[in-house]
Amino acid sequence: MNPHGHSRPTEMEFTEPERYELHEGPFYHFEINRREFVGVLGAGILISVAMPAVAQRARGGGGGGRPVTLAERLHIAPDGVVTVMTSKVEVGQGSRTQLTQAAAEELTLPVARVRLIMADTAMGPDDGGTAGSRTTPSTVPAIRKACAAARQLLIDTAASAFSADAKSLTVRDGKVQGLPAGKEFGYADLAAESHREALKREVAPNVSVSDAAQWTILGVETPRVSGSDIVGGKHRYPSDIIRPGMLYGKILRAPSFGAQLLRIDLQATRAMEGVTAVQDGDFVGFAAPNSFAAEQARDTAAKGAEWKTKAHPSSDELYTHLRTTASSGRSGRNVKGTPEDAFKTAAKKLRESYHIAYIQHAPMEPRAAVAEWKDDQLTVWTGSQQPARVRGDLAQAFRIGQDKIRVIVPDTGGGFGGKHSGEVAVEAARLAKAAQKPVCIRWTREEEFTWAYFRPAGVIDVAGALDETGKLIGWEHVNFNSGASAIAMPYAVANSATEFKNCDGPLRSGSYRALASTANAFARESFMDELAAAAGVDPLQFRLSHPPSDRLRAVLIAATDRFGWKKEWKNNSTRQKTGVGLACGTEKGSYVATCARVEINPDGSYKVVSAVTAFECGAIQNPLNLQAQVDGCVAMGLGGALREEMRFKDGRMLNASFRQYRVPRLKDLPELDTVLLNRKDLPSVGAGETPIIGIAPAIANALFNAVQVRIRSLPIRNDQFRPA
Amino acid sequence: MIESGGQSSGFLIVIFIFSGNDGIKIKSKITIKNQKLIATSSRTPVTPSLAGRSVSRYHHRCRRRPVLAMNKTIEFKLNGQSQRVSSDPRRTLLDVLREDLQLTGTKYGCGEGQCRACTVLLDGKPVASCQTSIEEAGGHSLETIEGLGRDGQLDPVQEVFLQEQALQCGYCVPGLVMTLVGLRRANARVNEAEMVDALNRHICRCCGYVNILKAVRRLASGSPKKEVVR
Repeated sequence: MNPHGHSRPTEMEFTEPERYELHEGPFYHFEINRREFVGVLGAGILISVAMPAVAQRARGGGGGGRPVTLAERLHIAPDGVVTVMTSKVEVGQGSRTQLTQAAAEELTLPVARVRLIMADTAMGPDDGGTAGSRTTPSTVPAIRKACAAARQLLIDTAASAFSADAKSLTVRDGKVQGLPAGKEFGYADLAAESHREALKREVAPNVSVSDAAQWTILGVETPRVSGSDIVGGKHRYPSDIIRPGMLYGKILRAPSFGAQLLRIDLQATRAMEGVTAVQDGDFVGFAAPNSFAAEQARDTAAKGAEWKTKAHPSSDELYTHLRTTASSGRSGRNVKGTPEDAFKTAAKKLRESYHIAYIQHAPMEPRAAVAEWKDDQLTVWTGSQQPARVRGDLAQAFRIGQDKIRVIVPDTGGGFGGKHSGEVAVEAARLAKAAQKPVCIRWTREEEFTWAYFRPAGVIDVAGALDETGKLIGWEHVNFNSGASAIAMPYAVANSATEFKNCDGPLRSGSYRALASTANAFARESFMDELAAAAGVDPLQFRLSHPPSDRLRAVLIAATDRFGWKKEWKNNSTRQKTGVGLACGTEKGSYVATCARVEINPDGSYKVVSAVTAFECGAIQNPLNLQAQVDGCVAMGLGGALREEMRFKDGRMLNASFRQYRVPRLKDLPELDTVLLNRKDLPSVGAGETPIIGIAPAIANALFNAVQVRIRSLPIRNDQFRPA
Repeated sequence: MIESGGQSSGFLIVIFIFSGNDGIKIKSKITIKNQKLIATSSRTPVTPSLAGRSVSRYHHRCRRRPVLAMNKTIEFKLNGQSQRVSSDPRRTLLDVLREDLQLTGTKYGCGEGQCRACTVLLDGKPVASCQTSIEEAGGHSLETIEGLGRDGQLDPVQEVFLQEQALQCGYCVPGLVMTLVGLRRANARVNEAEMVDALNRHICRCCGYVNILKAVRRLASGSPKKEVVR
């Protein structure tokens, strides 16, 4: 894959790689540290499974193409509790519950008898990082296979122990069925000493997993397995980890982006009681018995610091800056048919530009890490979606082997694609090394809003060519800076060209929930509306007459039916001050369509009154969690659509706080209605990202419907559409 | 609410208030005079942080004092028990709860009272512990999420949050729960609109507002029990 993200991965045609997801890290070979297993899991048996090279490593972990290895996936304790291990993290998307369900389904055990150890680099196989909606399509099947293999082991061992025919045996509720009367055999028996020998053989790699039509645990509404701990305030997030003798750290930040530290005097802070002050190149940090003392030390040192600042483009000149710094090559251009000819012969040609701002993930829990050194062994607890990458970063920073580093990610307070980096882990480890005590660093909200990374801003040029009948015969879509995902045209058009251009983006950029799909869907779906208006056709009809795939069509029909689109559209042409709009799209193998209704307030401002979203991601694994993900995506998408935008000037953030950067709150919630299409005949794919992409263009189109003003920029500010 | 008493020139604060999702409306402009902190940091050529310092009342107060301060012994009631801490009086209640008393159920989310993840009850009333100094807590009765429930039973608010699955990452949940517990203590018949008003001061960044609203409605309707598999 090239670093621009243009080539398509082979394993899944629909997954466009995101350049911001790519990581040119070293090849990380995973070694299991067996001592850790004994310490954490206690007695019992470990079951290893053959691990193919992880398909999503190019997105999630470092390197790729690792050969097949054996890795410990499962542990069965003498009491029959099964522990399953994965490198995936729980950041609120519900992976812990869903993976537990997947294991329980194949083991035929109740959810309560399956434990999951997640994201501990010393434990279990490397399933890659948590990104790109890959947990459902990749890790759920991997865990199901391993657990189905364990179930088969149980049957085979019972068959040989009781001289029964394995084919006549089944497993229910963790117990073998079909044994001679009075005989019992379950997972606890597998862990018994007498059967250890039976387990020393290869697990069949092609073991079959249960069919979605037969699911009894997957596919069923299953509440969060850690729900009680969460409502009880007992769950320990990364920022809640406390180690004996732990200090708290604060880092000196530059006054503006790119500023270089020329001079600082740490004498005064070194004299402060209990303070460890560290300067190591540009890194200046302070550890103290509490965070207030560390902050005092930092602020004292900061007063005398001298910096050399650097020019930095402001958010006001952002879109010009992106355009002028765009790469000139056309390597990323995907052409179908002869778009240039289509535009020459067209009866009508439209061309518009769309803008999308930098926004931030702003997870409720800012970056946090606790680092502890013991005899050159480093353990770090941190909130990251990429534990293996963080371990690699630490190994590079401290020039030590990865076998000396253990990274543990406790279930974390939000990610949304914003926690792929390991800077806070490196900071905590540097201070802990100097202080010779464990150190905890928790970024402040302001640090998170300034020094984390952002969803890239973008400029998108779209052009369309219509023939005399109103048929779309040519399409062009060029994305500057924000990314290539979902840039492909989902409607049937004979001639099209899509292109992604690298630019010199002024802010540190990275992944985000659905990333560039939101930008590309906003431009495409808004422009489809413009074309429909130019052709004089209902926007739903216009889309359906350039037929998208059956699955996209299905969600479009489902959403518009529930919304009552045909009637609403017809009625609304005569109504004032309200508008309806729709949008749809596909990304990462799932399909979404959203209809929205807006109302114009008497003062000219607007509000989103209601939205209907239809979503399809194959066979539904947990309807409760799916509903939450879809609702959460739509509500979060409102923020980027209506208000969220990072503003900066002279290398400083102008709105690095929740007071100035307004995210959706409870009262912002419109009336939401959701249609979930359950395709049990199709493999399940992820659902935590794609449902976010439809709401912004649906609102923009609804505003046009209400006031006949086109919105071509996100967020939609009131001054953009105010009717004349 | 904002302390005054320094010698500097005035400072303009514009408060943006959102009502519904109908965009930004400037509701009020308040000119605050004599903000010593702002004058101090504007005189300081280099500040440790990059962005504009948040207009946090707490930070203003604590920075007006000299850097060197003696620890003070501060006593208060915590989850029904007497508690004594020795601390710099300027530290936040939030930091002392988490760092000195290891009560990590109360969360940091913003440090400016905007997200309310740090909500605790002070004399039964919900307050943002990131905006309360430990000195201010002295002599009062405090309750944190760890103090809720009795004999292993959850508080009805926690129970309803579980029933309605009003949690995704769950980081905002202790704050939401404490606010609702405080409202219900003050008024057992607190209605939906009052609860929604109070929770609108909180942020759930997973935007799990649909289920949070369901929990509020269940509480408003008298919290009938609903079977939940755990």
